[in-house]
Amino acid sequence: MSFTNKSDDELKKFLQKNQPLPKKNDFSQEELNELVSRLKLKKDTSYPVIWGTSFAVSLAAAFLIYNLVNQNLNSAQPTRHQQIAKIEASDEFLQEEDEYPNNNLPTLNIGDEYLTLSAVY
Amino acid sequence: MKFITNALSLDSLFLKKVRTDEDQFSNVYTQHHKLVRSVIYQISGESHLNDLVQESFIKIWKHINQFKHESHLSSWIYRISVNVALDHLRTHKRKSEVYSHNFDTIIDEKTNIEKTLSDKDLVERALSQLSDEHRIVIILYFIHDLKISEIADIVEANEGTIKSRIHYAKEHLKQFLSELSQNDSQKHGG
Repeated sequence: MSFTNKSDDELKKFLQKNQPLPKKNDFSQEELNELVSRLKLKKDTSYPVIWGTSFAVSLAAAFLIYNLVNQNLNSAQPTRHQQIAKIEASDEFLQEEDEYPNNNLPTLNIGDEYLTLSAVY
Repeated sequence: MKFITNALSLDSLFLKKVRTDEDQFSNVYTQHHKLVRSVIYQISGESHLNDLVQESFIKIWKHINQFKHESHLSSWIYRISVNVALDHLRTHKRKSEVYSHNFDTIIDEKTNIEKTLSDKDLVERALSQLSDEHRIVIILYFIHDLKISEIADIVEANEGTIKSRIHYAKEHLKQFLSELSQNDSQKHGG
């Protein structure tokens, strides 16, 4: 058989007709299963369970985030206890500062006159 | 409330992916396993065929997100299969294992006598005598009937290079086919 004078089309037809093919060339379910397990692909066989779980997870996540956001908002404002403590602390400060109440002011001796500080004020 | 709605829609998207993964993979496999198996067999031979087919599908699935829809999915799958087969050839050539279908003699199983080469044997032998580069373009252009632009895309070379490779590969193939056919007819007194 002469091949040297074959046209491209003739050569293509000849090669396609006589192409080398593996002995086993059919669909193999076993091979597919093996590949699936190697790739760890899971088929969903329990629809309601997965949906239920996913809904519960979503709800829990929403609740958690809601709580976190709420906590953050609350932490920005002082609690009632904190407010009272702050007020008390400021009162103590005033009391400490108020060493000389008006009715008990020290007297100053300027020349012969005795003046009270209230007069100076 | 808006947050919950968002979370649920994201979740359903995730579920959709999990649910369809195996179906999608099965589709890709059933549609393309013949192509992958035959192209790997034609390029690198029988040895390690199953392993190479598996490796190709694992690569296809792992990188399917990188598939750009500029080309056909089958071209992209050809590229992966050709590369897997070529990598195998390169590795085994370093170990002095050359592409071979063990063609020294073909013995008839019934008569135990060396038989005449069939056209299929002839093609297989002639292909095995080509260089890897030439064999790939012959397989893709003549057997799988791909366009030159597709082959260029698959082997990552420009179209001019592919045309030139096809030209020389075709000449070599014709020469090998003629020689093998002549030798065989001389052996068997044809």
